[in-house]
Amino acid sequence: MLEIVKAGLNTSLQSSPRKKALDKGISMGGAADFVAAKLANLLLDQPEDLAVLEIVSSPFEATLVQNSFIAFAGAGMQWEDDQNRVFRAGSVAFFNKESRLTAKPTKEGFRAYLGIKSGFKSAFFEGSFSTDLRLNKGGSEGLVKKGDLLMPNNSIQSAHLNSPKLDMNWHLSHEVFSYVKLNEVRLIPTFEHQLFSASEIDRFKQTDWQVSSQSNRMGIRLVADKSEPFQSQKLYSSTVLPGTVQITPNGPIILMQDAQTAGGYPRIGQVIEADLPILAQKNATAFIRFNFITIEEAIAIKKDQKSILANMSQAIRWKYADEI
Amino acid sequence: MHPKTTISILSEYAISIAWEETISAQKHQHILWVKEMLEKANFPQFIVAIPSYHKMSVLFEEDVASILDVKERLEKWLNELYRNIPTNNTTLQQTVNQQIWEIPVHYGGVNGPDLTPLAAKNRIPETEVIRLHTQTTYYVYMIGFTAGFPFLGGLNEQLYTPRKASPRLKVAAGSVGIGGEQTGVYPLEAPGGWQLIGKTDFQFFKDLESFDSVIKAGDLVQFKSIENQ
Repeated sequence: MLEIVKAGLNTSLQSSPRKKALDKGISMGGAADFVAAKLANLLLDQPEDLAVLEIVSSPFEATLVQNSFIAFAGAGMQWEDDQNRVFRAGSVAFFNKESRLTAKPTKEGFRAYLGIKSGFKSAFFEGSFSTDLRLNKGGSEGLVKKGDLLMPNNSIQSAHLNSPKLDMNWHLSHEVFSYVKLNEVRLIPTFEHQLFSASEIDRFKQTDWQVSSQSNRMGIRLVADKSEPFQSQKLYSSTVLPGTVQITPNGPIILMQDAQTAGGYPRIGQVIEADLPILAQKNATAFIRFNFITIEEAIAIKKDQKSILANMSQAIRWKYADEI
Repeated sequence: MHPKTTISILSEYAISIAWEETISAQKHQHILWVKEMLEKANFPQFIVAIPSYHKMSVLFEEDVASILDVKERLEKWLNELYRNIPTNNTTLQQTVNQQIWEIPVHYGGVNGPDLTPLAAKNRIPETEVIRLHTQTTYYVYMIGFTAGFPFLGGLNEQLYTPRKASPRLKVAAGSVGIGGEQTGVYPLEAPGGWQLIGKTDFQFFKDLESFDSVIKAGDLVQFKSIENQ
C-alpha cells in the first residue's frame, strides 16, 4: 500500500483500454506505454493487465504503508528509497513498511510505471480499470493526489505458485526499454491518405517533427521549423483512434489514448499499435519522423511484439522458479 | 440497387464502412439499421460499431483472426445482408423511438466568442446567424468526440464555417459550435476546433455514473435562443 506524498504531474492508475464504450463518445484510455505497463505486472509474475501507476516525468514521492513488492518499468524517472537503494526500470524490490520511495525526472523518456503485487485496487468503468481523466471515472477516478492511499487489489489472490523473494538480484536487460530512444514511428496509410498531394506526403515524411509542449495523453501536437500550412480539407467527422494522425492546417496531431472519439481533420495515416509506446515516451522538444508501412507489416510487427512479451514473461517465471 | 460501400482498414483492430458521401437522415437511418443487424449477428471478434455521418467504424478483438481476414468476412457479411433484403424493403428504415430535444442557448458575447467573427466572415448580421441556427430542426448523426457530444446535420449553408486552424486547448462545457457543415454542443470541457457561437445549460447525461447520453443518434434537436427572456 502506498501513501502519496508528492503526486507528480498527471499521475493515474492505468490498465487495458476500454474499446466498447467508444460509441458513447468515451475515450479508449489505458496505459500510454502499454509495453512498460504490462512489464510492470509481468515482473511480478502476475496478469499483465492489472492496474499500474502511470507517472509522467516529474518529482514523485510515496511512503509504503505496508510491506510490499514493487516493480519498476518505463522511463523518465530515477527511483531511489530512503536506504539509498536505486531501482532501475525492469527490476522488482521488496519494501518494508514506512520506507520512502522518491523519484526525480530524467532526460530520457517521459512515463514511468509502478506495479505492485496483486495490482493496485482500481475502480471499474465501462469494461476497464483504466482512469478516464475527462470523466474522472475508473482507475483512480481522476489524477492521483497528495495524501491518496493506493491499495493492492486483495481480491486477486496470488494466482501463481511463485512469489518474489526478498533479495532479488536480477533485473531485465536495459535493452528492453531501448524503444524509448527511438525517433521513428511507423504508420499505415488509411483511407484519407489519398486526399493529400504527393508533395504534402513527402513533406510529412521528410520533416523532423518536434513534439510541442501542448501534448498530453489526448494527443501529441507536432511542429516544425519551416512549416508551410497544409491543405486541410473539411470533412465530416468520423471515428478516430489512438495513433490516428490528423493533419490540421498548422501541422500534424497524433491522437493518443485519451483522444476524442471523432474528428474531422483529414487523417494521413494510423501509427501502428506496436509503436504507440515510443510516442508515450516522448517529452516536449523530442523529434519524431514518420515511415509508412503496410498493414501486413504492421500485423507481423505486432505479433513479434506480443511474442517478445510472452517470452519475457516466461523467462521471468523461470527466474522466480529458480529462486525457490 | 443496394447502397455502394467501401470497406477499409483503420488499424490493426478497426475497419471503416463508408457509404456514398451524400448526407441525409434517411441514409443515416440505413446505417443505424446496418449497425443493429451487425450487433445482432454474433459476428466473431466484434466489439462495437460506431456510426458517423456516412460511415461506420467497427472494432474487433484481435486475438484470433487478423484484421485482413476480419475485413474479408465483414465484406461477405454485408453482401449477404444486402442480397437477402429487397432493395425497396422498408426494414431499411429503422423504427427507432425518435425523440426531439429542445436546447436553450445563450448566443454570443462571452458565451459565444466566435459569433461576431463568424457573422462577419459569412457577411450576415449576428441576429441572422442566431435566426438561421435556431430555425432548423437538426438530425443527430452521432454521439462522439467526447461523451454526449451530438453531431448535428442540416446546418443552413450560410453558416458553414471552417474549423479553427489550430484547435482551442479548452472549450467550456455547454459550448455550442459550428465546424464546417456541422453544428453541435460540447457537453464536457474539452479541446476543440469548432467556432463557438453560444452556450447552454442543457443536461446531456442521464446521470454522472454511466455518462449515457440522453440524446441518441437518430434523434432530432432544436436550438432556442434565450437572449430575450
